[in-house]
Order: sequence, then structure tokens, then C-alpha cells
Amino acid sequence: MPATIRLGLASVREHRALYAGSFVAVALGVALIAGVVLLTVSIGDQGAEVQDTLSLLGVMAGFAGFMAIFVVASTFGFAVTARRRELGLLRLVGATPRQVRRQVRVEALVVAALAAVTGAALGRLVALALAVLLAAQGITPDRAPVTWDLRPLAISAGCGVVVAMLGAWAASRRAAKVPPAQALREATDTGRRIGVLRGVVGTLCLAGAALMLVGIRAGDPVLALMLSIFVPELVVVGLVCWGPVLLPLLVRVLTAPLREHPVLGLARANVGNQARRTTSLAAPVLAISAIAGSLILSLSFAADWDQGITRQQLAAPVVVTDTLRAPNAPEVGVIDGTNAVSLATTGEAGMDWTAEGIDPATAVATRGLRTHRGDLTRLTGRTMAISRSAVFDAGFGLGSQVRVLFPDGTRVPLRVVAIVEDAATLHEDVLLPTRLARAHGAKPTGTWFVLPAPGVDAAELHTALRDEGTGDVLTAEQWIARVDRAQRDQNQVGLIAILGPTGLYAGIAIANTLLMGSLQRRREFTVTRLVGATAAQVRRMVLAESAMVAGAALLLGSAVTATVALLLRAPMTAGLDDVPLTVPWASLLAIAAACATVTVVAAVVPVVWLRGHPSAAADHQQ
Amino acid sequence: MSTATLAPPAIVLDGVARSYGSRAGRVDALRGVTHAFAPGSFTAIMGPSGSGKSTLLQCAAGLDRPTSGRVLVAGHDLGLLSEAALTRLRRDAMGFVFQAYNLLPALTAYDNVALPARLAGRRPPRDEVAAALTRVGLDTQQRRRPAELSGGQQQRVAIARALVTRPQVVYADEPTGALDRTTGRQVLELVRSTVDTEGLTVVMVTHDPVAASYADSVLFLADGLLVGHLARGTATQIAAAMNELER
Repeated sequence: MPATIRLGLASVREHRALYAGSFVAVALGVALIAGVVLLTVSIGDQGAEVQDTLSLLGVMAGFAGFMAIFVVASTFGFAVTARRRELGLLRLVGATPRQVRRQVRVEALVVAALAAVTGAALGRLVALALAVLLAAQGITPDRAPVTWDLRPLAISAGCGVVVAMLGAWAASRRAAKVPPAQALREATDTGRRIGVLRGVVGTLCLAGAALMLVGIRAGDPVLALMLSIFVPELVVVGLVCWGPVLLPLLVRVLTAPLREHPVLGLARANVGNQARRTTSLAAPVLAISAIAGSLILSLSFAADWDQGITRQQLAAPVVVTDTLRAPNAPEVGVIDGTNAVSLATTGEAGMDWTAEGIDPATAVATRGLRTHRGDLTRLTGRTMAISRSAVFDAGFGLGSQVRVLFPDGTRVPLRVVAIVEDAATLHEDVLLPTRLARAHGAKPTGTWFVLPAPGVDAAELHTALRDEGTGDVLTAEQWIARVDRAQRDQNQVGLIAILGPTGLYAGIAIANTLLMGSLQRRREFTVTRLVGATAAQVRRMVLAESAMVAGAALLLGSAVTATVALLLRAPMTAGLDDVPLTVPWASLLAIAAACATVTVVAAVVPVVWLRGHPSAAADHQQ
Repeated sequence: MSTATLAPPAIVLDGVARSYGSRAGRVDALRGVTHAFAPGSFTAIMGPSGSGKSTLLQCAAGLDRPTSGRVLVAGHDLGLLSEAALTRLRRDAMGFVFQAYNLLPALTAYDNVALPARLAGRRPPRDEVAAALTRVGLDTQQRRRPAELSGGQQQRVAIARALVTRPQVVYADEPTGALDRTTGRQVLELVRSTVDTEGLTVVMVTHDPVAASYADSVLFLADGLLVGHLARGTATQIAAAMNELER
């Protein structure tokens, strides 16, 4: 067995505590991914709502993977810093930089493999739990049996190992750079210098993000929304790469007035001096605040945008819902009922869609359908129209001949005759002539847009329909509010699903960094006590350090969120007269409060815990 | 004795200077040190804090590169070697013992001693590793981790590791600094007897006149320059010379 592997194994055993964070992060990530993949394989193809739920779960697992890279990178980076002296010693007794690098990678592999196996086992439980949940929510008709196929578990475990290796990559490179002379010195790595590669990656990420921000400002609304979800990740990676240079500076500037304070001044100096630790602590706070903040605002603005479109286009003053029978009264002028039929486009860009049969003249009158390109009056016979954003996914456009498959089994070639402006609330993305839709099984969905007969005003129509007693009779305003609420509730569920695990990761990373930091700083704390600080002052110092770093990270995260939101607002309001502005302050503040709480608790607990610990034993070790 | 003086020196320092640039200004840690260490010699380096003792040791071992001047170890000019070649030379020709934290905490005493050979890609001969541990009196503690050994035992494991590759030169930085007087004396006697029986060259930085009295000769360093030399001095003579320097 090569020396590096033997040493790597022994080292993981010895430094178990240093790698606990990595282990938990990878195991949890693998469990989530494995659970989702297992469930997807088990359920298979079961209609649009199940697909939507599964893709939401997929996004959640993806975010978890992204955050896991962060946690592993931060814990391994930390472990390397904490062991500089030991690594120097290894170099001194004859290890080449390559051997040191390999040893750290072996350690990562050992931790990752153990975590991946644990995670895969847990993944089965996650899949079972999700299956129960989906059945309880009525999303699947009954509890899906979870497959015993081992491949999904193997794939997820593989992903976990790859994620861990990516996270440990930079740390292993840094470990190889520890000079042998380090064995003779106290470990005092201020680490304010960053490697060339790290600088380049950071700069590329920030440049890419800047380009995307320009894209958000200039692009169409749907593209802007998609970019707004990816920009924060890039900015976060870029800022974290430059963190050791940037963060101490930022904290110094922000806390300049505190420099004369005995305890806070010391905390400020510590934050500035320990650039690596500061970055490890700031990274998860920055990640969660920037990503969650942007996501919350983007989704809220998207709902605002939808509502703005609906306000702009909806001409019918009365909307009747929850009835399959058309409301009927003498006061009714034009009535336009919604219906739906699923269809699949075939060929390379095959996708499932929900289509709606419309009569163009009626739909323009009641729902204000706007033609972007083409001619909606030609929507007769074997033709279709699609909304502008759907062109993006569909892979076909105006004039295309598209082969579609209806649920009744017939295949029909359809020509795209028009592209209409998006109005997700008012109509489906694919529009068919009413007769074609009906011929292939389109069913009414229970919503009716109603215009009054000539000479009748909206109030009279509303009263008449209420008296008639069919369905739920709403004014346009009431209907818009109801639809908006439903959409925001749905967004909320999605946000919790995506941000829950992400937040959990951020918590693990913060707690891990602070715990490791405190263990590593025992001697420093002792010295601080010996020069006359009380135990309470040491606690306050640690607390102040964490608060300063978390504060700076939250400020950066808020800046990212605000930038994305400001730029996103323009394309989301362009061409619309009345777009509400909804900033979900409660959710945003909840994120900030959660970050602050985790940081503070994780800062104080280890210090209190260390107090009751014999420090002599600690000084014997490094 | 005459054959020893005719053999080429184990270590040559030729006008070695080392300065560090810092924001506060330039610091000259060494300002031109020239000395040849004969093979089979045991030399102590003494001097007040900040005199450049540790820098001298690090330059002599290739852990630090001189700003000017040359260092030769076993005939190799360290300035001409790549990092990898330097690592190989360190692995094959040099051993190290310092004040504390000499051992990898994850490995047993045996594995710590066997590590240099393993890093060189060789299978360490079991009997040689065991013999090295026996020679330092630790034949029964081979399976212990550093945390389960006393400070003196840890130092002896470090010496066993420094000797097992049969290096030509051993560098020691305050090897007894963290030990009590009795344990320290045992460690020094061990070093002394290895020099006598195996013809090893030892360079030891210390501030303890008693430790220095185990050496063949003592070099005194002040402000980055060699300022004195004392052969076969007693602890009292060495202490007197130090007092003179620090005045």
C-alpha cells in the first residue's frame, strides 16, 4: 500500500472531528439525491403534476449538491489550515508536494466514500418518506412502491464522491504548497493571499455574472427570470474566491469606529488577520442570503408580472369558476370557457404540453389575447399558436410544421400560425382551434370569462349571474386576487422545498467552521485570558467576530439580491401599465434572522463547551 | 582524527546571507556566514534571540533559500536543486529533530519511524525500524501513538526516525527545549553516542550551555554574524562565553 494511502487512512481516523462536517454534508446530499432519483425511477411517467413535483425535487437535490461542494471545500480548507504544521513535518521527512496533495485527496476519498454509502442507505428512507408524502398530498393516487434497483443509489453515491473531490481539490493544492519549514514554526497562516487559479476562477465567475446581469436588463422577461436564478450562484462563487482579500477589508471598513473598543477592537483585528477563517464563515451566509434572497424576489416579481399581464389583458368584467356548465342569463353577451387537452410533440424535441382550444375572436374580446408575430385569425383547421416563452423550450417557431400526438392516439401535423404574448394566468402555452381540440378530447376546466350584452353594465351582469346560481361568480378584481394568491402559495411551497435543505447546509457549514475554529484557537483563548481578559470577554470577542463576519456577508448578500431585483424589475414591467410591486419582506427578514441566529449560536456554544474542558490535554496535541 | 579532517566537509556554508523584506523594512537575519562542518562532527550553534540561529539551521537544511551565498550538503549545491530534488536529498541524506511536535499524531511510533522509507516508495525493512526503536530504548512502545508517549519518548522516536535512513547529517533545533533535565540529558547522550559510533554529522541549535557541552564545538552567532568558536568547552565555559556575548 503506497505511503500516502496508508497515511490518508490513519489521518482520517485521527482527525475524525475535522471531517465530521464534510461527512454530514456529503451523506445528506447523497441521501437527498438518491431519494429523489429512486422515487423518480419508481413512479415513472404519471402525468404533468407528478412531473412538476419530481422536477421541483430535482432542483432541490441540485441545490443541495451545490451547497455540499461549499461545505466540503470549506471544511477541507479548514482542515488543511489547521494541520499546516503536520503537513510541513510530512514534507520535512521526505514527502514531495505531489505526495502531500495525494494524501489530502485520499482523505477526501475516504470521507466521501463512507459518507456516500451512508447517504445511499438513507436515500432509500428518503424515497419511502417522499412516496408517503406524495400520496398523502394526493399528488400520486396511492403510495408508490419504491424500487429495489441499486443503480440509482450507485449513481447518487458516485455524485457524492465527485462533489466531495471537487470540494477538496483546492484544499489539496494548498496543502501541497505548505513549505517544510512550516514544521518549525507556529501555525500562523493569515492566508490573505489567494492562488492564481482561485483568482482567475473568481474573476471569471464575476465577469460571467456581470454579463448575465446585462442580459437580465436587456433580455425578454422569461430569459431574465432564468438568468436571475443563476446569477447569484456565480456571484457567490466569485466573491468567495476573492473572499480572503475582500472580506477582511470590508469588515475593517465597516467596523472602523469600533477600533478603540477593548473587546470589539480585538475581535475586529482577529477577523482581519484570519482571512481564511473569515471566508469560511462568510461563505455559507453569503450563499444562503444571496441565493435565497434573489430567488424569493424573482419569484415574487414573476407573480407581479403575471398579475400585471392579467390586468392589462383581461377584458371580461366577470369570471365564473368551479362549474362545468356554462352560466346562462339574458345579461350575458360573450362567454368564453376554458378547456384543456394534453398533447405531446414528437421527434427530437419531444415534450408534453397542455393545450387549449380557443376561438380567436372570442378570446381576444374576453382575455385580450395579443399576437406577437403571425396571424391569430388563421387559427383554423390543422394549426396551432404558442406563447412567446414556450418558443424557448419548444424548439419550433412561427411557420414550423409540428407533429403532435393526442391522448386518443392520433398523430396530427400542425402548422404554427401565430406566436402570442405570454399570459400564463389567462391561457395555456399551446392554443388550438376549438374544433380540433374538442375532436381530440378537450374538456372544460371550469372557468368562464363573461362579457355583458350590449346595454348591460358589469354590476348588472354580476348580479344576474349570481342569481342564476351557476358556479362561483367573481368580479375580475376578485378573480385576479384569487389566482395571484394561489400562485404565491405554490411559490412558497417550492421555496421551502428548495431553500430548506440549502439552509440546513449553510447551518452545517457555519457550525462546522466555528467549532473547528474554536478548537484550533484554544491556546489563543488561553493567552487572551492570561493577559487579563475575563471568560465573558473572550465569549463576547468570539461573538463579535462572528457577528461582524455574518453582518458583512449579509450585506454582500443583500447587495446581490438588490442588484438582481432592480435589474429584473425592468423587463418584468416593460409594456405593461399596472404591475404591482410585492417585496416579501417577511421571507427576506426570516432568512437574515436565520443566518444571524445560526451564526451566533454556533459561535457561543463551542466556547462555553470548551470552558469545561481540560485545556492541558488540548495543548499536548496540535 | 586525521582521516576525518582530510575528508570533504559534510556541510559547507559559503558567505550565506538571508534578509527578509517586510512592510516595516528590511531585516538581515544572516549577514554572510562561512563555515565548513566536518563529517562526524557534533556542532552546537548558540546566540541570543534574533541572532539568526534558526535561519542558519534552515538555510543549512535547504528549508530556506539564502539571499546570497552557497550551501553544500554532502557535496550537493542546494541552490541548484529543484524542489523535488531537494526533497529527495532531504529524505536520503538529512534527518531532523526539533523541540516538540516532531511526530505525525495519526501514526504509531513504528509507522512514524517507517514513514521516510515509505515516502521514498520503499518497503521499510521491519528489523531495521525495530532496531532503530530498540536503540533509543523504545522496543516495547512501537504500537503507541504520540499522544500515548511522554515528551522524552516522543523525542526518542523522532531521533529513531532521523537515524533510520542512515543520513549523513542530522539537524536539531532545541531538541531538549521541552524536556526536563534528566530526560534531556538522556536524549543528548543518545545523540552523542550515535555521532561517536556511526560517524554522523550533527548540527544543533540550542540556548542551553549544558546541551551545548555535549557537542565537539560551539559556534556563537550575534546579529547574523559568526562571532566566536569554542572547541570542547564545558558547560561553565560555554555559559561564560554566552554571557560575554549578551553583554
